[in-house]
Amino acid sequence: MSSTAVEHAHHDGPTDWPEDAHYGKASAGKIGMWIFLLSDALSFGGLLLAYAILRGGSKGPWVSPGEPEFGITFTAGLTFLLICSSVTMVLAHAAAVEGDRKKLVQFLALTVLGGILFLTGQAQEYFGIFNGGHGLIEEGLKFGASARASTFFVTTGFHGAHVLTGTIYLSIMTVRASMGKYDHGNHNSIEILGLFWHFVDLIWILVFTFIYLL
Amino acid sequence: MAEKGKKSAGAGDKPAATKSAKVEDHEAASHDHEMETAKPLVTRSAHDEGAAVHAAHAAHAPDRREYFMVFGALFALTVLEVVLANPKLGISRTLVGIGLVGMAVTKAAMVGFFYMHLKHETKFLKYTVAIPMATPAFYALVLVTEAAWRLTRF
Repeated sequence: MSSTAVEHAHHDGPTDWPEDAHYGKASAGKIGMWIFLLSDALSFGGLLLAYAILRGGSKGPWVSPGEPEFGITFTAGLTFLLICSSVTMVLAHAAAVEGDRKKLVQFLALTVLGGILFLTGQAQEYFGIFNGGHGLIEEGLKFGASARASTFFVTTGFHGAHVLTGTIYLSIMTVRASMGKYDHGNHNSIEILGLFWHFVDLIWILVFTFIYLL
Repeated sequence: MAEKGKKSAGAGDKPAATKSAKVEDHEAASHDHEMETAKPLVTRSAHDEGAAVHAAHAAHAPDRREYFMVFGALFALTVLEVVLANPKLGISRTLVGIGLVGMAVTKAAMVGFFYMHLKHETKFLKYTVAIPMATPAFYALVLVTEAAWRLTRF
């Protein structure tokens, strides 16, 4: 029995999960990713709440003298970039469902590009890599110098770490997809990857509003 | 088989027999376990005709039109947020705050519902996700209420 099961597991067709009374056809991997994302969401929730408490309880002005304002237009561009990468991710999953390897690889590669561009944008914002180091840090936003600076770097840095992880995860999956690992409608792993990437987008939507716009 | 195992396990003065029965019982259990776990591993052959079409059906055929409509809504809400956040408009900061948080939560929910396919999941999974996700917001509400109470008292 066990050898048959293993033999079947190596087929590259779509896995047919049994119907569960509570979770329907959702795979164990998908539920596992959701549980991880929930724990991750609570981590971000903690950071945003710490930010809210510090900002709400600050006696003086929130923006300390000498600290720069955030570049909202530039960051709105980064938000747009992440939304676009969510679209390419969902189109990659659609291609995987339809068993179209070429489109799957193309859309995954575009999503990787979105991740790289976002990280480049964040490096530009922090360190000014394209204008001689003239970023937020040089302009006077120093980690530890004020609650605003610290909460900004911790929250956006933690998100940036997620983008970096997601980009590496996406790159590995792009290579695997090009090797035909997700052919014939075997889309479960691509959907799980998508959950992570969309979560990164979802969190940024909230970070953008709370940290930059409010 | 399991009954035999239980009887032997109860006889503490026969360790050898107990061990043997336990092994048999364990084998039976693992055999049953294999049968259980084997179920999800059954896959359709790669050469099955229309395997991808079947998969598309099982995974809810992708609705690209809906994906692009959601993209349009996310883009429009982002533009609206940036415009609303501009202090030169002279709108009350409380109203701006409520509007921005409302739009951000709407956008996040749209990503979860449409792009993360929560709309296709069971009600149980939807609640499994939505309830813990809402707890930081609930805690924020508690903190705001507590802060407001302190302002009126001290």
